[in-house]
Amino acid sequence: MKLLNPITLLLNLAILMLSLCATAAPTEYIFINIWDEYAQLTALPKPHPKIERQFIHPDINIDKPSVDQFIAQFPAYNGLKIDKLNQLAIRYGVRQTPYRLVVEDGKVQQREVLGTMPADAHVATSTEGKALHTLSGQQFDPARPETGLRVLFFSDSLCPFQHIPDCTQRITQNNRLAATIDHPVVTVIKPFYVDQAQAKAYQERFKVNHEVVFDSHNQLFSRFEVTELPYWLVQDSQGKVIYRANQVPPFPL
Amino acid sequence: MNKFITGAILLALSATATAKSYPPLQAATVEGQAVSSTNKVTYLKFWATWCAYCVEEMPLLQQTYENSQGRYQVITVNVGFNQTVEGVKTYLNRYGYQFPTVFDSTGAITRQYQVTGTPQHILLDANGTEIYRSALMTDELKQHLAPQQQGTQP
Repeated sequence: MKLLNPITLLLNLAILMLSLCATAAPTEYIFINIWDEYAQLTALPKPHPKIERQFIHPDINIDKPSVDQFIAQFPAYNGLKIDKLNQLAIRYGVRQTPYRLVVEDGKVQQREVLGTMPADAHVATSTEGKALHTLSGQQFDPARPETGLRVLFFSDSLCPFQHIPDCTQRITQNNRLAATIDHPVVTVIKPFYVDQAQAKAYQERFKVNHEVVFDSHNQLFSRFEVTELPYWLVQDSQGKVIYRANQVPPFPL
Repeated sequence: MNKFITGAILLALSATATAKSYPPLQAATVEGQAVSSTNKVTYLKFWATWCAYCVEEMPLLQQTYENSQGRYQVITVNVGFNQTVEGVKTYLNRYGYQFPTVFDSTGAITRQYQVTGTPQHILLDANGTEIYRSALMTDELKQHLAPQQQGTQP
């Protein structure tokens, strides 16, 4: 048996201790979906003092601005990370949220579902809805602009988000349009996953100085068959749509 | 001449970079029917029942399926996350949706097509090359899928 010199021995001992420290600490992964958390927060188990907790979001319908916005509202989730390309979820076979895993030395020691699966989404299909008002309290009649032309800008308060390409730039373009034409411009906000408070926050965040309607029952999107965001319509004085596109309307039309 | 060659190379590189190709999709629908994108122009739609934008688009998807007139095939892929195959079947039956639907139980199809959001629309040519991709049902996608003369490519 070959004897090691004291320095090599000490080095080997240090490496062994470091590797023991590195492998011994278990990690608790809690997979959540922020869009479900907005609706109902998960009842989290009490943290274990010796287990590091990491909040993980599957890499679907998520981006960094959405994570930041969520953490700002729910600081308990500070450090929430996106599971890039769902590497952890794939490795540990996680196919639902909320879900808890305790992993030690790369092996799953505990796994449990923390809640029920999200319900099917329900979308109002009727175009008949309640009377609509702008955020400033003015009545909004989709059929009668009562002026000459009227521009409707369909947008989403989730902006910036991957579903809404170039939305920040488009909102700026729309603000510029509103400032340069004599016709009224109204921004219409999609109601999915948000409420009126978020529509108001959108108005402040993007410095929108014209009227904003929160389309609470999705009735304007349905009525005008708008399926793309952001999107512009122009109505004539009779309410007839004379322009529709994902580009700023070129005035004069 | 040098400029022309450089330009041609750049053009070729940019075309290569934008034209993503995928191995053909070979799968079975929730009803057990085999589907394949091999040698077929294919419109893939990724969705989930908990996704409000997806649910809103479903009637349009059914309409697109009915209007495809053999110019392209429609295959929808339920992403399988926070979903069960029974739940998906119940959902499709409840609304009478008839388009072929694959349940991506492991997430492999979602990964194969680099989908990180729902809804996601992908139009593939017969070679599996991506013609168009969008998150929502855009005007451009509608133009690609609109009923045209028989035999016209999307």
